[in-house]
Amino acid sequence: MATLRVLQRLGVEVMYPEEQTCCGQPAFNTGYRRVAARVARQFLKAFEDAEWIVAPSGSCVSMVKVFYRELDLPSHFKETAERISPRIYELTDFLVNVMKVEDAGSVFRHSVTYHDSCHLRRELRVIEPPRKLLTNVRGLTLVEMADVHRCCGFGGTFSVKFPELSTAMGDEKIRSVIETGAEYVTAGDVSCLMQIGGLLSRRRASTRAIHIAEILASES
Amino acid sequence: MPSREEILARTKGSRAATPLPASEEIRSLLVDRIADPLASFIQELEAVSGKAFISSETWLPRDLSAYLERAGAKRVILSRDVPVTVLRRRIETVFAGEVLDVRDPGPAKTPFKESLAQFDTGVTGCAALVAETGTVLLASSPEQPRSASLLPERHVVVARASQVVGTLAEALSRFPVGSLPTALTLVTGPSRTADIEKVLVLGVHGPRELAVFILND
Amino acid sequence: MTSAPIDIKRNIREALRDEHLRSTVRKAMDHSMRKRAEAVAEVSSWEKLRDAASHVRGYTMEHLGDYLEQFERSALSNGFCVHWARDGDEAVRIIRRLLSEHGAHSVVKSKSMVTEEIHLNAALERDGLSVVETDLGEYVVQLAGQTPSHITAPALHLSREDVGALLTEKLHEEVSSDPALMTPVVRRVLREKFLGADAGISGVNFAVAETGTICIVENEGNARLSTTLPPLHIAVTGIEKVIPRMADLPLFLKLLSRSATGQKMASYVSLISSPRQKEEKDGPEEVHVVLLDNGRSALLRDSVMQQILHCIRCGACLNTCPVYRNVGGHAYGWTYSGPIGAILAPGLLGLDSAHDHPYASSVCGACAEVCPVKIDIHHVLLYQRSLIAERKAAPLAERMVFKLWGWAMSGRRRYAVATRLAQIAGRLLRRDGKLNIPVWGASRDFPTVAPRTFHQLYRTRRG
Repeated sequence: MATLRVLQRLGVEVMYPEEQTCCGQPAFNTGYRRVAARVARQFLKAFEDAEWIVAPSGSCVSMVKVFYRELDLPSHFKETAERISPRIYELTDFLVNVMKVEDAGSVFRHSVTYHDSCHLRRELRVIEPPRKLLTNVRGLTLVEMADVHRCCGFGGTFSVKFPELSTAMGDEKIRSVIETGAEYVTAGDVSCLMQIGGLLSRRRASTRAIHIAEILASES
Repeated sequence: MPSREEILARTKGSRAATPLPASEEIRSLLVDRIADPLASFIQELEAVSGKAFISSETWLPRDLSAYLERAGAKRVILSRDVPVTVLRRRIETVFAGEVLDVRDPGPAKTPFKESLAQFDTGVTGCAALVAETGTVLLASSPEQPRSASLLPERHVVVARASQVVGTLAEALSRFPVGSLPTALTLVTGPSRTADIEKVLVLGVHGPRELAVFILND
Repeated sequence: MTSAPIDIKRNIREALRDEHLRSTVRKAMDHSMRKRAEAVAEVSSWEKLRDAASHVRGYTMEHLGDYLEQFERSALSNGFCVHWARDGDEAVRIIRRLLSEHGAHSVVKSKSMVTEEIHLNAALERDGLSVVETDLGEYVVQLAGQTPSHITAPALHLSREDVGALLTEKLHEEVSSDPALMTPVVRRVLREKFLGADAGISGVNFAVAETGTICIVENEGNARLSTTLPPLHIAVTGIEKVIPRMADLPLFLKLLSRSATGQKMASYVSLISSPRQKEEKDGPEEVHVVLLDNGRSALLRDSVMQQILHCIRCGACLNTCPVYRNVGGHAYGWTYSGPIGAILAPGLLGLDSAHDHPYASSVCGACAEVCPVKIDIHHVLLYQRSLIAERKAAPLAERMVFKLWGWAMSGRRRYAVATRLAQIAGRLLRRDGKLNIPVWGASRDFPTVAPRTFHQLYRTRRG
């Protein structure tokens, strides 16, 4: 919803294809490429006519842009995938690099630290756009955490296959988060926020996790 | 099937998808326009705990003796590829310690390596000095046995300023295929380790000290 | 080649409980990453170097057989002996035979992961030979009866106190835990071994096909000593270490040194092109090169896994890996650890022996970012997961869950049903305003399932 509000506030005509379900990443990540291909076909059907596709998720966009080409898809689906690959963007990437907007007109009077999710940072190389946008949010103080590039430890099914290891990695991440003294930690991927937020909550830290779209949509 | 034939069969006949970058292309990637190669060499050598001394053919015996005295050297083995003639005789007149020649390092019955192990300092020449990394390039030969720069705890190199080159690629390109020495050794500073808690310690198995005397020709 | 399955899950759980190990490893990793970052920042052409190196490695693997033949030709004309070993057992047989033919009793070894891979030391010791590891970290690990835990820093899992105590016990003399004071002790002890050794066994960092040269990279001088003093030198190498030309060597040395330890150049790089020549006073009279396959050639048949062979063993991926820094190298249960170990294990040992390795990763991609030859390590992990899933080697319950999930995600109405079920489950599992989820819930809270889905909200908003 936040993504919708932000885009509409900036004058974008937003459509939400209701046939969409998922990009297929969880299956692909766990090795089930045939299942992922099946789900990908549903995605491609839903979005085949889109001019631009925007998602508040680095991992979903990576899946389509980077990994759809690894899937065994019928040729017309392959064509669709190739056609939409340059047109699908993560939210902050879209705002800054397509719409050339660095000020989304948001207000969020809190201190915030930003976490680079691995897909955004390494698959999509989207590093500066979220920071540019956050810097221009009225009342927002942006604090950079130490070792910001280090994985939060979620890793999809990894978090339940190797829960203690995933937690150990996450604990190191939240130490960096807490050290900044920021009131909020934000990121472009809900999975990272679930991991970081889940640990912050369990460890009873006061820092709260919030998706960057929520911050950008915030008007007071 | 013998192993050789089996391994070759399994490693041949593949798709040729990647082009091989030409040697010139690789060399051009490694070229570095260094403004003052000699100064750069000295800076890099010192950065890895080596010592650099500028001298000349005339002054080398005096400078080298002074260094050896300061360092507490007592037994010096001299390679025959040092670019200064009659160095041994000339050092001996100034240096109080013992100076021997690699042709004659000890009693005939004693194995060469045992003899070499009795010296605290080995003095050798070199094939090149590499500015980019502070590396000394040593080419083994009957005149410069490998042990001379390895067994003693102190290694002294005598080089000419004209032997400085910019990069390792340049230094190696001077050895055409088919004319490589038995051992070409790239020495960049003294022996070292950080195996224990990443704490740097010098002089593990190889020399603890490396000094380079550069002669202004 | 198969071996007993490695229980990496258990190893990881145990490692996570070892606070001493974890803090030692973390400190070492922070240090290594910092040094690497400084060294790489100095090289403005770093990405171009990586590209070139990646292409050279790719081309080499595509023509590996030709380059192995060229290397053999050049090496033989230099006066080396060249042996080919299909697998570890054969390599061990060859080496034992060589040592026996030379009447060798004492052997000095410089660091070689390949000789660990084939369990060479144990075999030689069974023959009654004395085999001494001479790299300081390897020596310490050998004394401790352990295996190396890192590709370039074998003893990094041990603190200085661990090492001081170990040396004191094994050398029967009081050894300080100060690295500056314990090192001269080891120098003295091992110097005797170097001088008295009948044979030196080394690894090979690069084997130059054009000239038949073997290149050995080190910092301590133990490899130089092991390959200069004894009358016999045996160099053991995986077949993938071949590089085409002398002109390629400075490229790889630049990438290797900066990536491994943050040095511009390692202290000693030996380029050995022949045994002792006439009139030379030192150097081995005989040099034997053992070319080992041991499963490497099988990787060439797979276009994704072939890149695993590009590795130049710098260890940068280990140093940057968030998994490795939490559990250390022994958890991987095999010679090679860290990200490269995680893909090598299924590759060389087989998917059955290492079926959990590809999953012991969050696929963050930090490894691929630092790999000097641009191996897409994290993508290889994903690929190996698909091989395991396809072979139906994954747990049945998991396969069923994903099949069902795939079905649910393949249609709008099914998706709606699935999310409805999730909302109901969410209400049932709710406790104290949070969701109580098995496994995840052991250490982490979970946000509640939203009362309404985006679909539902959108419908309402749209009116």
